[in-house]
Amino acid sequence: MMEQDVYWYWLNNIEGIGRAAIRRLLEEYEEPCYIYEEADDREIACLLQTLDLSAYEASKDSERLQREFENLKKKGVRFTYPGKEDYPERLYNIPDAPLGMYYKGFLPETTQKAIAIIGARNCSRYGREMARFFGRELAKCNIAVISGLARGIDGMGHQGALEGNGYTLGVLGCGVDIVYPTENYELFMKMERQGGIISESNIGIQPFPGLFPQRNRLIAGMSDGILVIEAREKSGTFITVDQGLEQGKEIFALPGKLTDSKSAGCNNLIKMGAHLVTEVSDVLEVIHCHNKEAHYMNTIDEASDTKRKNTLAPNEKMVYSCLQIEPKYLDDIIKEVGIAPQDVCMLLNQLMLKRLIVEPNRNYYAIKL
Amino acid sequence: MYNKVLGGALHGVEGRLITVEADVSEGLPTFNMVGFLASEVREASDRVRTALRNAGYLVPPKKITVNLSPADVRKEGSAFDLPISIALLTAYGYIPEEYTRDILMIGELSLNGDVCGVRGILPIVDYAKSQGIHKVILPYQNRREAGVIPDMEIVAVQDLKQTVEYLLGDLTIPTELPLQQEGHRSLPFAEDFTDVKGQKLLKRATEIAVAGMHNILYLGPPGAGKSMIAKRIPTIMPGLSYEESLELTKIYSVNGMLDAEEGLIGNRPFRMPHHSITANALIGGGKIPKPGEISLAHHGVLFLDEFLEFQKNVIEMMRQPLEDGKVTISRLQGSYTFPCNFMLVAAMNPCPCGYYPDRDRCHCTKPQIDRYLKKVSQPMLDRIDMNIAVKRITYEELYEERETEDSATIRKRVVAAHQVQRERLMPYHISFNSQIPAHLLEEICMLGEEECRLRQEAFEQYELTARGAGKVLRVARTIADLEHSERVTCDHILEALSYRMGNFYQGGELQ
Repeated sequence: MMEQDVYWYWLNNIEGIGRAAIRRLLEEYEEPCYIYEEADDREIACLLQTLDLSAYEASKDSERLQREFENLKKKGVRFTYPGKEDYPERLYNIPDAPLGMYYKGFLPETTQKAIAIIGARNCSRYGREMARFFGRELAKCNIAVISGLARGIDGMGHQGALEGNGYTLGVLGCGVDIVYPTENYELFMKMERQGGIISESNIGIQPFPGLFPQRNRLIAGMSDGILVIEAREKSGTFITVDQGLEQGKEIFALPGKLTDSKSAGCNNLIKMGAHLVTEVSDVLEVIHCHNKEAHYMNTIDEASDTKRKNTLAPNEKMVYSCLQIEPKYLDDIIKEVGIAPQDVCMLLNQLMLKRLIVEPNRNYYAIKL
Repeated sequence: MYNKVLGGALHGVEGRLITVEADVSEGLPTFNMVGFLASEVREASDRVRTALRNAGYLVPPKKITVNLSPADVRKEGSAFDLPISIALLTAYGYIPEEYTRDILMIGELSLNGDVCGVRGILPIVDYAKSQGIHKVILPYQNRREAGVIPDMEIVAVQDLKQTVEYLLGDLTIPTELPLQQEGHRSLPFAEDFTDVKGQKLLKRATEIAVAGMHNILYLGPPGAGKSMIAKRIPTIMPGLSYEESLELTKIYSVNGMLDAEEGLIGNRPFRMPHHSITANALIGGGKIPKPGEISLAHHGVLFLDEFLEFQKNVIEMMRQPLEDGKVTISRLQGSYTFPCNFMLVAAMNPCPCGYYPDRDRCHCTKPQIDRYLKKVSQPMLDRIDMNIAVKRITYEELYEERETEDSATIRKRVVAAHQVQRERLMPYHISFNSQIPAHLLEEICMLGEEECRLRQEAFEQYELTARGAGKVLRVARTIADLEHSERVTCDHILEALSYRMGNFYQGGELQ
């Protein structure tokens, strides 16, 4: 006899058996331990016609299972399944709920509202900064920020939530011990401590395109609403949105310029009836989470420190006011301001030292948020 | 009969005098040549014998021995044909011995007796002069090149017969007047800065770079005008001084790259080797080492377009020459030192596809870009003072009718800045701000209290390294010099910060 957990672990890790098959087995036998201990192999083969019986038999190696399960614990990875006390309550309500999940850190409270912040991997600075802003301010309102720990918008959403000292959960399409993409390593480590990282895949499983749509269904499932920051017309983001709609979640979208292909998907969502978001309270109202005590900044204007702008010298102000959130090339600034290049360079660096602007790329400047 | 005449050989970019001895005696008819000879020198025996006969001089079969001394120096090249034949004719008694004394002879012979041009004339003639020789007989093609040496009588000959007649006094050859004893000439440049529209940052940064001889790296997409501006850098550089010109012309002479009609090189060189270049071609090398591209760019500009496409080891080899202004190449036959005091101008794309940060066109991921940029090492980047980004200009900028500054105007400012630097840096034995050593920076930049505070602030905010901060100060010093400011002020430092060589992407953040 093994622990209940190990039976579930076993059931989730049989080669050639997916969720649909496991569900059929559970319908028949109710508990994994009955399947393991009592069910006759032939009955199972009868039930699952496509089953490779030899692989199935090989999987029933209690020693190996115990060892793998111990290893999981040793790595600080926890395993949960339907019925276990830490299984996220929200997931009971979604179609095709996961039957086993691995996570690091901790999972969100059931009572805590959660918003997924998702969007393009290849995004603009506008998108990045918006994701970060909404992540941060929502976190300050005690809302969990859920996303996929990918490049671009996802990562910045998490980053913002961490900056706002809130809870954030990363849902992965690979094992929770694999940092993908590698440039998110630092973020990954922070989230292990300050939030959680969860995946349906066992540890050691490498990212694989087929796993990502399944991950997206979990991102939708773990949240109350989905906020799309930047998405092209055909984007993987819409898998999450579709899953969210199917699960009855609220959809929010940030509007963008018509000429900007990176926002075309968002604009389409708004046209189809998504909530248009221009400030944090737009989200809070829809998910009924107006917390009067929370100190958060509602609009971008509040965040961008416009008061400090008034303390600038006239020529500094002139340079500052022609900067935007999208980085602008130095020559374009020179042309716009109409003063000598050396003076523009000098003023820009003065503003840099006052921490009002940033230089995200060589000689491209943008206002700091 | 025995006789000797003077010939010359090359060692790197320096000349040497070689004594050519010939002895004709009774015995078994042979033609022996000795004296540590390369095969092309050994072959001279056949050329000389045939040329003499075809020029109409009878050479009766006798035992001939030719020695080139000093015997421990390896002799290369075909410039010994003429002195050997003259030594032989003297030994045979055609020319009285005293007629050939203290005359340097250089030239290759063809079988019909014509004298052909050779490379490396200038260093040899220059060296001969320093050894007290005042007359040289050389090929007609090389007459201009040698003409730049003052106090040297140049006898340019076209064939062997002419040479003999000249030596016998039967023929007078008008000596070419030394062409450019002093000064230099500047050919008008085909390019000019007026051609560059828009791109104010690029022009400003380039002017500063030239004014302080700072190495500069342009970062930008294809077609942004990086090469265009680089090609115009020589047009805003001050002209070459006589000494500089002589040094440069010697290098070109050794490489056989001088035009027959050209004497001293008047314009600063602009070298733009393709990125497939090998280490030997860039640094200098070969079995008999010849100057490479970095030496050909001496006192001028070495432009490396597509900087990251060069082989990494080739680029890294420039580290030491960049620091020292000269390169020493050691080979089996000896070590050779070539001067290479050049300004490095490099251009590269910001990412593998070239369009970053234009995210509508560039889809490179951060790891891809990181990998791409890692092709050049930090020590190499440390030797480059300035770095700016370049962007493609728009149609309006290109065709806007606006007065743009021409090269002459900019050159005036650069010349003035060079003058200021030369005067200030004279006691330290350097000439440009880019060469100021770290320990002298404080003293030379004369920072006030406010400037020091700014420097500290900038150091922290821009995450500068000690070396990076030094580079900002050097560039600030040049900006101050362009404005004729004795002291480096906050404004200068602030502007210099825009050109700093830092992370290409601040804080590693991709847009």
